[in-house]
Amino acid sequence: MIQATFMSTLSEIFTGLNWIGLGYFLALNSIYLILITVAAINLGDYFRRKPFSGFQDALKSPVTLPVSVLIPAHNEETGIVESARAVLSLDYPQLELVIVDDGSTDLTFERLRDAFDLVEIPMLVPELVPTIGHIDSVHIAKGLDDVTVIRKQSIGQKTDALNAAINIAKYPLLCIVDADAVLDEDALIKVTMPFVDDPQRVVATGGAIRPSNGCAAYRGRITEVGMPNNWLARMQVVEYLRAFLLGRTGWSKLGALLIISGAFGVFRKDVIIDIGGYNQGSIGEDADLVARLHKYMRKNKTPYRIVFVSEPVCWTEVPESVAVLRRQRRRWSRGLLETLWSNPTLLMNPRYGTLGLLAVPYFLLFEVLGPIVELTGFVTLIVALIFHFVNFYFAGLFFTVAIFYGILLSILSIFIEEVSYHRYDKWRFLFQTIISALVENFGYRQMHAYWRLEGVIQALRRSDRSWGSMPRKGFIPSETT
Amino acid sequence: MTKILIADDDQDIVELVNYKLTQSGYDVTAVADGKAALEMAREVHPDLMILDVMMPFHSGIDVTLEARKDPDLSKVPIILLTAKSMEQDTERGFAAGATDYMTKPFSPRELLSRVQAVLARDA
Amino acid sequence: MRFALIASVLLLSTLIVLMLIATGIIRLVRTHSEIRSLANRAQLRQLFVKFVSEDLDPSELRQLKTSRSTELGELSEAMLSKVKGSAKDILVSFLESRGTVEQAIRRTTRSGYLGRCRAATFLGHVGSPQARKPLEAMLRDRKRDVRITAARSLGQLGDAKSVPSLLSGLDNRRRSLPFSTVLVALMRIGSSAQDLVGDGLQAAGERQREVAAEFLGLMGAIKFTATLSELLANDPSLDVRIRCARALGRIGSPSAIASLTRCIESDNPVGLRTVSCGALAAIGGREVAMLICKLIGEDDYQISLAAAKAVSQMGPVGIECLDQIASSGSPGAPYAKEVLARAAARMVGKARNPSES
Repeated sequence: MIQATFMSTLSEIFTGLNWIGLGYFLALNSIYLILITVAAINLGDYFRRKPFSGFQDALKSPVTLPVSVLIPAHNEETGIVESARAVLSLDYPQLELVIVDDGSTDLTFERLRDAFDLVEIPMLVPELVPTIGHIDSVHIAKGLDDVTVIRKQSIGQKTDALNAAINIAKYPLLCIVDADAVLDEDALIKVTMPFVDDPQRVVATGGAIRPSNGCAAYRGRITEVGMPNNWLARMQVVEYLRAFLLGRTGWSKLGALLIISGAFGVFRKDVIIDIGGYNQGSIGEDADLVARLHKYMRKNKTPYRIVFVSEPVCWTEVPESVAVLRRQRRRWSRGLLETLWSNPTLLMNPRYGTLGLLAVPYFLLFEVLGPIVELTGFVTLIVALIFHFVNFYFAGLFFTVAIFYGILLSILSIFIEEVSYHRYDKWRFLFQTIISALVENFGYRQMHAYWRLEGVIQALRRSDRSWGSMPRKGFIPSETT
Repeated sequence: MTKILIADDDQDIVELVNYKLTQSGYDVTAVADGKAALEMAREVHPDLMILDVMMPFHSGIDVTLEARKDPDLSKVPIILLTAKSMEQDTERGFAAGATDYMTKPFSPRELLSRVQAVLARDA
Repeated sequence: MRFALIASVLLLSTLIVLMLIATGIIRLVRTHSEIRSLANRAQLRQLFVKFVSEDLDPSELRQLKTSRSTELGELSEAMLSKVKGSAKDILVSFLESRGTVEQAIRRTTRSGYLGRCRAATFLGHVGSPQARKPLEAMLRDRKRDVRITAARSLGQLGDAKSVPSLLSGLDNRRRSLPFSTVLVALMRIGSSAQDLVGDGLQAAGERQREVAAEFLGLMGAIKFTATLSELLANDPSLDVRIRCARALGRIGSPSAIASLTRCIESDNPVGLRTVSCGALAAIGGREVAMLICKLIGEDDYQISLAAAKAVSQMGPVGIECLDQIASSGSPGAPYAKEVLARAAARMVGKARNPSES
């Protein structure tokens, strides 16, 4: 008797949980649907205007702002010379290249020295933004005024290498590029165009990233776009389409872009210096930088724009093994939570407009708490099935609705890519992306949720243990609002 | 017959130059990228090369550099076609060993007279 | 409830299938039309190439089927931006004979803004003088893209008469033109624009004065040295003054030395001082070098470095001065050493090419 009541209560709880799970899925996907709509409108506009965008003019203009391209490198001997050459031959009026050899133990520096005939120069490095690792030496290329290589001691942080590079950079725009990113020839001018179009307001721009796995490259350029041979990487192709082409384009249009990928972004140097550069020790340094940019500009009440350029011009290799991918996603998720955590004023703050009211709550609810809900939903559904709290038929329907909605979004992304950039131009590639969009719902998404959960737990643990003991004093600029 | 190799990824330009030069009695071979340009140059040993600066694979400047290193091609005159009329580009082109250059948009007639001048100088 | 769930599953699956079909259709249409237009274009191109090389009578082109008319138009517009000289003249007269130019002029006032952009671009490529007036009117279009395209096309037309309307577009509050668009357009017009741009130095709007100063500097317009010097000293806008300083450096007339020297003094803003250092160095001379050298070692890092860099670009005179500072042990010594090392590295490898492997 008691047991029966207990069971029925339990049944109600589980059914309730299932409903919550379903509601969550519907909400998440609906938000994405809105983002996609905004992005699609924006993309359509971009495409219609493209023939008149005048980036050929910007290439010829004597007042197009010169760019310092900053590449942090730690043990990158295999590709660094090729990357450097590829940057130097980008189609752009005036640029310099600053490479930071952050305590490499391989031949990164030697390779560069031989390729560019580096000579050491005595240089006073100003402390415009704080750095920790000591700068051992500064080298420039013989005969070229625009290649600088810094050798510094590593503190094991990319942020420190980047800050050192910012101190050395001489031009008003900074372009941050990963050492292994492959850029198209017109990548820099495309991503700098918003600065040319709207010089008063644009403070940062980010470029779209696509997986380079399966593409053919020659001398540091992609020559033929392809599909990875590995299914894990193929699913990431679809994921990148959804997240970059549509997600970020949408957020950018709403004025609430929170992440500019560390692999390829351009920033105004003066503003970066004002906010104190990268936050030392930050895991999600790219999101953290953008979050503080938003805060700074809002605080000063300066009208500003942070723009995402959806044109795919930057390619990076994505993990093809579960272990590496797991590490990457754990890190992303942890970085995101830490960024939101260390910038609490952003949440639900009407002062930050769509960023505070839409983007930050979205990231907190769906990106950070998302994995918890997703996994609980999945587990409770199974439990409920085993104990017959819900009938099989009903559970099947629940699951199908959630999954189909997800599939619809992925297919929509593929559709929009097809209409717009059309980079995966072989029929085989189209079928592969479609199959990936279907398959990823069975296994990949659940794994992904679990990895993100791990990242969240890591972030929380770390905050318990060593939040206070972090050597932050003196390094964080006083920008708390 | 005097052999000329032209490399440009813009089909409109290739055809135009091809026609103009063929009409004037040259033997013209056309390719669409830098890699093919080098391969073709090594095969046909042209008497003159017309290279676009911005091409897939190797740029016109890279092809010039490679050609100058190749004993068979080191003496072949090269005219660069550049879309950007930037000093930096022409500087780099001449430093690489180009003989002459023309900026786009270009006049087919002028190109022809430059080709004749370069070949005459060379002979 | 169950009904709602089933309905949504059905709805979703229908949508998915529809999207898949749509994707497939778009792919099919795209591939098909690409192949067809490539083939058509290749065929037309052969005729066209003959035509612009003066080996084909225009009447043969006109005899082409009317279905080819749009493709012919597209090809000739594409060709237009790639050739110049007699080949272009032939193209233009062909397009004029088809009435395309008048059509484009009529389209400059049509409602669709993309159509207006296209018309402006086309008129720029054609470059016929009768397009100037309609293009100037487009500088006040309500769409920014149209204004920018029109400005660019006016540059291609190259008629100095359009300078005043280009300049005034800069300070139009609600319908403004970007700085770099106007500058590039003026550069395209070239030296014939000098006098009219020179008038812009007296304009009320500061962006006009900025562009004017920048342009005159880039053109090396020596006769405006006095006016630029005066603005450098007195203009209320710092940005204008900085651009004047840079322009005077580019022009390189020694008569600007006095006013530039005043601008490197310590009571001026840092941005103006650094640019003035560079400008003075570009004019050159031993006294100037000594003057700038005094700034090397100032507390402000930017000033010291800018001064040292400027001096290092002055040739033997500058190197001599820097050598002295470097060996003196003064606060300026580290800066002098840095720029000397840079200068040495630059000279050593001058003959090398960057892309050489």
